Amino acid sequence: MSLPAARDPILKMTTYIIRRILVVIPVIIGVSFLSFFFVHMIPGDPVTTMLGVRARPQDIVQYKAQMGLDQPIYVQYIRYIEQLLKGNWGTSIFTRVPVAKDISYRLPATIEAIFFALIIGIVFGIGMGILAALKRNTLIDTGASLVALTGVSMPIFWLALILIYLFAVNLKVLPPGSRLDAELNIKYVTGFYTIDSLLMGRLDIFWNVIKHMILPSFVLSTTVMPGIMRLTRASMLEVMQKDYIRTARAKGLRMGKVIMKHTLRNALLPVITVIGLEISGLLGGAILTENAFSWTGMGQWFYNAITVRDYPIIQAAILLNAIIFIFMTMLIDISYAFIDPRIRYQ
Amino acid sequence: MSATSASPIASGAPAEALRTLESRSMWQDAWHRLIRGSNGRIGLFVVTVILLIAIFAPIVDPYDASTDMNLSIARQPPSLQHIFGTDRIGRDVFRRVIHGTTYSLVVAMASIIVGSVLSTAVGMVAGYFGGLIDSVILRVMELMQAFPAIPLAIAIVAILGPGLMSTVLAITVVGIPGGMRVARAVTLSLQNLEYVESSRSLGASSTHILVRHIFPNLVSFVIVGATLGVGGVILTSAALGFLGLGAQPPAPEWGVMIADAVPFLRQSPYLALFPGLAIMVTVIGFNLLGDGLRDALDPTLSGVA
Amino acid sequence: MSIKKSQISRRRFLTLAGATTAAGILAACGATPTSAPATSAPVATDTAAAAATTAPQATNTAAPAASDTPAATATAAAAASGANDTLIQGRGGDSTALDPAIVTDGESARVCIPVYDTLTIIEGKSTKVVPWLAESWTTPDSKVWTFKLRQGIKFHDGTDFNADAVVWNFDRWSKKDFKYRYATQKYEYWDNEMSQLVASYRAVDPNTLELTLTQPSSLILVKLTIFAFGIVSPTAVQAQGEKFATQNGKPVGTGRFKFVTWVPNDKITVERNDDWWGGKANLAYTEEPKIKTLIFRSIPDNSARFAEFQAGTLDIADLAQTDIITLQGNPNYDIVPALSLSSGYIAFQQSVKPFDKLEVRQAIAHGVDWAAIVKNFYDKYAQVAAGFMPPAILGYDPNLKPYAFDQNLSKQLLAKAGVPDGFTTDFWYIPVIRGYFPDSKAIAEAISADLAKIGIKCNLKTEDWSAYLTDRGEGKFPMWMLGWGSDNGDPDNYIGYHFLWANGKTPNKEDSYNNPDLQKLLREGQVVSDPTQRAQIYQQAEQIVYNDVPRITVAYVTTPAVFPKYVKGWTNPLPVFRDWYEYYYLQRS
Repeated sequence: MSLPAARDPILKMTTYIIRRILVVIPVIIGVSFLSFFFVHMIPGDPVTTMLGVRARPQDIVQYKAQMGLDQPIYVQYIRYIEQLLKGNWGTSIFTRVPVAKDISYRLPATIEAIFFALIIGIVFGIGMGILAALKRNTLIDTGASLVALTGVSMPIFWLALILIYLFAVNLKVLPPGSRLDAELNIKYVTGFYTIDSLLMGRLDIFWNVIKHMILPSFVLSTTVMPGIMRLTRASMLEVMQKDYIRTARAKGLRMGKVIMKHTLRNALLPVITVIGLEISGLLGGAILTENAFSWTGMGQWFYNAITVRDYPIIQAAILLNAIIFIFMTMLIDISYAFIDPRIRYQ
Repeated sequence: MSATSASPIASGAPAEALRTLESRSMWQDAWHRLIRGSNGRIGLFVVTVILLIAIFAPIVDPYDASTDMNLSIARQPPSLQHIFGTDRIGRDVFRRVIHGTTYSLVVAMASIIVGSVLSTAVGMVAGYFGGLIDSVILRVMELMQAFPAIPLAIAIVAILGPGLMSTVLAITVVGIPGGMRVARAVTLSLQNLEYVESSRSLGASSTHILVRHIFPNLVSFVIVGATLGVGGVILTSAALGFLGLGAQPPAPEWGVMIADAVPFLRQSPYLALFPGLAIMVTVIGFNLLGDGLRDALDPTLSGVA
Repeated sequence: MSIKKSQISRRRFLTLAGATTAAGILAACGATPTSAPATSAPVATDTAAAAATTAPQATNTAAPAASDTPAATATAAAAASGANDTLIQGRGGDSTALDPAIVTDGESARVCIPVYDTLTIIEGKSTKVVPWLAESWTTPDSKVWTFKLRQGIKFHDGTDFNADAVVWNFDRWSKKDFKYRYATQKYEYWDNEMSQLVASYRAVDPNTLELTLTQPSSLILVKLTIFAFGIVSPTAVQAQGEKFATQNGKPVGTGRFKFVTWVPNDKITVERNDDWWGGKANLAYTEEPKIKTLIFRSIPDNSARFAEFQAGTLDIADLAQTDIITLQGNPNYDIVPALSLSSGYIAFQQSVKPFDKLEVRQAIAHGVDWAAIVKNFYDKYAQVAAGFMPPAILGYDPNLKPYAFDQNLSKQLLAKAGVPDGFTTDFWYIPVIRGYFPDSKAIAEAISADLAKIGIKCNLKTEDWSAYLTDRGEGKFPMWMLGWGSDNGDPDNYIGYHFLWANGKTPNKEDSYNNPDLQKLLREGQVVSDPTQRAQIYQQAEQIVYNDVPRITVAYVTTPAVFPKYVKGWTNPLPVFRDWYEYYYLQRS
């Protein structure tokens, strides 16, 4: 598509970004309603769960009135949103801990794991992609393809089990789970243990955090690594055919330099594309990974809540998952606009 | 992991790729291209074998999981009689892995077929009629897509209760938006082609146009999307089974078999190894075949994703 | 326990109390294997898994010798060298709060117990009530009780423990408009256990507390042992307000361990209270803790917990019996059997066809190879059951023999019941791992495979634990599995708990089992005090249950516990369930 050049690119860009952010609002409203509705469709009675079966009828009536559960569903929904806006996500039925409090601990854990998974995925994905392209049709290329194919085809929960038993139970070189050795304590500031440990000035703790991060983030990285590798390889091959690269090589420039200069910049696009496609996979993978590694994040939280029917948590978790998804998608779109200006006119 | 994300053509296809070919030669071409590429060849072979196993296993070896048990041979390592060993209650793991193929493929096929039909139909309607219908459908899809696949599937299973039907339904719902977008994009690009317009001006009904002119052009996209989707579906249903939210005992489902094997990972790792390999091989097969089909059916797309 | 509110209210209490909190349920339904909670019902042992077990932590692992870790561990000397040791306990869930008065779940209780002291305590080697914060007591009429409090005790915050502090605690428990009692807080233990019993209380002098009961009763002594009546520091509550002992606050008691840190969902760390009064009090039934630091780690996923145990990052852990059995023969672990005070059973709803027919229930009893199941799933940690109650309980009848495995007989019985070709039924299996059913799903699969051979086709079903217990109580299951663990070793708490009708009039909805003779016997059992006579009564009751087959008892279970070789000091087997952290020490070679 050839498009007219923007008269004022910066203005155009800003407009695009603002528009993209505004679009998110109705989606979030819709999502909040859907998640509210979902939870109300789950069989079982939250009141009984909350008060116990021995609750007296008058207590149940009173509780329902107090919680507004005797109101029509749309009224309940509006109340729920009102409370949400005040930062009140409700209270867990089983632990009686405010859901917002749980979120403040669990959200950073999940974000940290996903962040490191992305780093691993990007580094190895791009690295393998470049290597495969340079050594096209050699054993290395085939090997990289095989690794990518295996990665994308392997059940993530199975991979987690294998790695735990191999590296933690048998070889005992990496911890089997959790975010930090139990004997170590971290001063809670941001909730991101890597940052918090550095804020404490404790490199030993930082190193411990990293060791705990390796297996879970690696497992999670398999959701993005193969895609990044394949796209990098494809775009590398494409670029390497281009005249200017050939010219550059013909001029005797060193291959490494050529790659750095021309092709790596092009690799950014596939990376973002793959991440965009796999946000859903990352969040789903987080559930399986966090369970396997007793990682105290959102995924473990959601799954546990489902198994005991802790309605307020289920509701919050579904909504939060959706919100994270929406925001990540939005970020991806916006970064596209920065990298490839054509996108923003679509 | 998910069916949605496995559709690589979601970004929309170049219009020039959609030329209508004389259909027989198109399929013949495609076939030749498919078996020429090594991906396609290997994928086709693996998938054929898996399909044969899935179809013939119940016929050749009728298996009733509800009576299968022999406590006297519980947890035996692989041997000549039981090449994959036996499980916690003395069931032959090889036999269960084989019959698990049928189970997994039934789930995958059911949700892929239902999902493809629904998403294609909805996508065609949205793309063809445009306007309000299109906007409404798009908004609904946007909402559905805002819920990540596995969390959404888990929530659906929580509502419906675990089991085969809920698994299929959950996976189907999760996969619809992706397929729908492809169908819509292709429909949109075909809208204004001459023969569609002329057919419309001749008074052909919308149904006629959709079925006779637009759908045939969609078929290759649907097939590629569906094939590439199978892998994701199998992984998701195994994950649900592993979490105890999918197949129910004593069904020989791979994810459930892995979950059951977890306490014995150190002593009897084969219990978890073989079902996991079965999942992997199946998913690899479908992914390779999907890649091959994509290259074969639409050469302009090859190399992308 | 011997709380003799009427059997009815106790039963209701136990069954239903559980429904409010996840962990409460477990105890209420005899869910916990290791346990004979002598203190009070809803204090479960642990949520997710079954037995108390363990894991190594040191010698091996990735655990870097971080600067925080004690330096002294190394030498192989003796217990004394462990004075700075850290013990890490793995468990299935986090505590909800550490304020004993308001929590009801087992995971909170097990952390409260080492942090707070109660006025009286169960001795441990026996179920006798012995002095604790109260040094002695007298009563002229069992109605007015005078407790002499121990002197010179300080809370962890340095304030004094005295009669005023105790009265302040009583105020907080009992007065709805008390300043330091908050709307969101529920004082269930007080309401259920004490509110009917205690009429008034006062401090006679700084070291003397006087309790007046509503009626003469010696139950007050055993009730005071319940962890929920642990004495908290008034100053701490006044300072922290509603946050006291929550995730944002800090628990302050007089106990042998004091609070260090709580990372929600992850871990709670407590540390030995070197000023603890109990270590200096020279009591025969207690010791100062040997370990320096005790860490409770929450790992909800059973397999993840087991992996951590094997990797050595947990020293002791709540594990499934299946997991424990797989460690048999491993030289790095000690497997210790515990008392057999629990059993797993299959039950039937007799108000629905075809389970109303005795022959059908008999057919099932004879249609499954119970011996094979017990051997395979429990290994040597259980024996095939016949009567309802395990051998350790009074009234156990050694003459009853397990139902013989005879599928031809089963088929004849089915024919006689009018269902010669069998039938299809839902069969519910428990969604959790319990000592009495260490691998519930696989056991259910095995049972239904046997039943399929006599034409009974089972649809295996399960649902989340609290719904499971509720629906079962409501009589919604035609056939299901569950189990029971004794609270106190008394048959009234075993066979009586299950078969004595709630209000003496109608059969329980749960199974609709109706046999007046049994009711009569069980009622007699509550009154008769002569042990021999009582044993006879309960044996007759056992015989009736055996003949009527309202339930099929599968196994009497000895839930084993597993410890890495270096974890020492586990006292075995104590009739009172709690975690005896004060006795543990680590000894690495």
